[in-house]
Amino acid sequence: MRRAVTLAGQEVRGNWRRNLVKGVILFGAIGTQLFTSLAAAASEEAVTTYGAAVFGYEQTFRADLETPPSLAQLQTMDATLDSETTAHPGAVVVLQADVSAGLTSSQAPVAGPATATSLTSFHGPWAEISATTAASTSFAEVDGPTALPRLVVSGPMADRLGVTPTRLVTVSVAATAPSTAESGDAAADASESGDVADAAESGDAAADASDAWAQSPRALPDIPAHRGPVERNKALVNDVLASRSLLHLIGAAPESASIYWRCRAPECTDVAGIAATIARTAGLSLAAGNRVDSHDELTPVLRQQREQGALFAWVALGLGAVAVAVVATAMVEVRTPELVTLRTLGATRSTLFAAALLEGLVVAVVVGIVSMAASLALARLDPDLLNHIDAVELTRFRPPLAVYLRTGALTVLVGLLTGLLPALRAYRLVRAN
Amino acid sequence: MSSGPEWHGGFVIDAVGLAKSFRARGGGVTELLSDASLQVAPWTSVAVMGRSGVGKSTLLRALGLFQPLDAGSYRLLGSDVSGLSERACSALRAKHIGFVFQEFRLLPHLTATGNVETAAAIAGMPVRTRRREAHRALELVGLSHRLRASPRTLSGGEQQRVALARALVKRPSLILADEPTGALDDTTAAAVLEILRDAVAVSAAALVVVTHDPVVAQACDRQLRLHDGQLVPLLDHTVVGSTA
Ligand SMILES: Nc1ncnc2c1ncn2[C@@H]1O[C@H](COP(=O)(O)OP(=O)(O)O)[C@@H](O)[C@H]1O
Ligand SMILES: [Mg+2]
Repeated sequence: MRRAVTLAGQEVRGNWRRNLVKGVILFGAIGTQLFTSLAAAASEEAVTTYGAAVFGYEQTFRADLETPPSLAQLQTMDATLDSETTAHPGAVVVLQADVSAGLTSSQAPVAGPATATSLTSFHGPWAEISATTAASTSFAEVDGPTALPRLVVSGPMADRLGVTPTRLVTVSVAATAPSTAESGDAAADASESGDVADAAESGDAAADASDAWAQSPRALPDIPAHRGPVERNKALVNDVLASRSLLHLIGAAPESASIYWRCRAPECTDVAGIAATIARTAGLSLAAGNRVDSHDELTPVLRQQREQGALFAWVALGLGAVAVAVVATAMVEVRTPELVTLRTLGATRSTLFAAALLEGLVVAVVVGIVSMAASLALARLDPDLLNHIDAVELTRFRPPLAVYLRTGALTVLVGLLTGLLPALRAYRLVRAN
Repeated sequence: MSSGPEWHGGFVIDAVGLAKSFRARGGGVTELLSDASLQVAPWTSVAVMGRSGVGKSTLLRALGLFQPLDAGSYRLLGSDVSGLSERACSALRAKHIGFVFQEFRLLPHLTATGNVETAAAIAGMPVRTRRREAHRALELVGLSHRLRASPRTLSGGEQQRVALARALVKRPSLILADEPTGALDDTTAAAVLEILRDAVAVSAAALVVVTHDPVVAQACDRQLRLHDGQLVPLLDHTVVGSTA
């Protein structure tokens, strides 16, 4: 074995030009493997820091209110949410109510051909909805002159409302508060008799006196869509907007409500405290928060990158290994006289076999080390280079150890495989002589 | 580590009735060695002559444990080597046998020192002494000024000296030379011959040299001719005549 090591060392040094050729091919193969793995890791890292980089948060928690809040409790929590988020500008707390049950209960009394909550399709951008547009004529005209102010609902929300058109729908809202079956009936009557405008105006007038919140769409409170921190999460804002606006408009109690909060790691307990405070002000208790941040939109990107990268890398590795094995075997043919000479010097066949195997291994290991060193240098010089997530710029990327361990294992494997073929060839050639 | 047989005080080569035939391509059988016998004592050189293709190289390969024989007994350094394993044969070659060829057969990518060191390494010489021994051997063949030279940059005579140093670095008990001067001019050939004779004298070696060169043959202690598969004294016409 010691002789094999000596011989392999001499071969690697003496045949450095040939081994350089093998090394370059192997570098292409092993390097591709390593760099695609690192690119996947870099993108993954970018995604985990995505929230912090783009939205200002890293983690998202969700906690459910243990009992469904009444509309009044919801309003209280809303108010607290406003004040708390103003007091803590860094915290992102969102209140979300699920209205489906509430709507069902309010729907029953207003059923009928010209009910206050008739649902019709409306093709318009969701963002257009606001207190002003809800009251505007153009908006009101969609369903003809008798139409009531309506709210545009997104597809998922329509699903949640139990409405069949999965595209955009409008919810016409009664001008009177449908908090009880009687008032709902009254609203239905009013719309049927064509007194809608009157009803709306009288509601407006009554707003100061009684529950302006539920009575008139024109009395919609500020929708928090444009408030700094909340605006950052578009998906959540849409949901919240729909839920809260609907609740406001129809005066229904939610079926359930949850509080979401988003935070950076060290601040998360503080923000959880704010969420608990919000619930407590309404006399409600909040279940323990669960972390829910899966960066959903990016998961497919990451998976695609990982899968395609892996496929590419395996093909490159396979082709590279085959190429090197072929080249190395051809080299053995050329070197047959040298192998015979070594036999006359007293080298055993197994020594020559081991030397050829070791030679392949040494080349692969050197290439592996060079690739790893190159990737480490690269990660240091330009941490963002391998990251495929454009939204995030990585300022620091520490390549994961696991990637290197795998590259190391692959290197040894490829080295043995590419060495094995020429080694067997060497073994058989010298036997023939 | 396997070690060869210890010196026993008798012949280095004691071969009796060696026989070897090859199946020729046409289907017939070529009998290269039929009843070849050879005894060589230490400090003795033997020249083997004969027509081309008569089997001289085959005989050397057999003596160097490369060529399995059909029949005959071969004792090397007092031990019977028939039926030895490949590993054991390699070990004997590594420690006790030095080969020299007409075409030098240097390892082209190694320096002069590297070539000699390789032989030393295979012979099991420890790392510490290898370099020193290689330099000593190269000095012995008059190449101390070309230690780091690549074979490509050396003349034929110099290359053969490196080959000699490579064969002699392990102080072999047996030197097998196959037309060592065949590719060299007379002056260079004389120098190579001188080195071989010195090696025989210094390290109590036996030398079997296959040659076409009468000068080389004359310098040896005995001259044999391979003819009809047998080794006969070069000038013994009776024997030649009787087998012809
Ligand atoms: N392994 C072998 N198989 C078949 N024929 C061989 C083999 N080795 C040598 N020969 C044949 O034996 C003959 C003698 O070869 P060789 O010993 O090299 O002769 P010499 O060295 O005397 O010129 C050649 O004709 C060669 O073709
Ligand atoms: Mg010959």
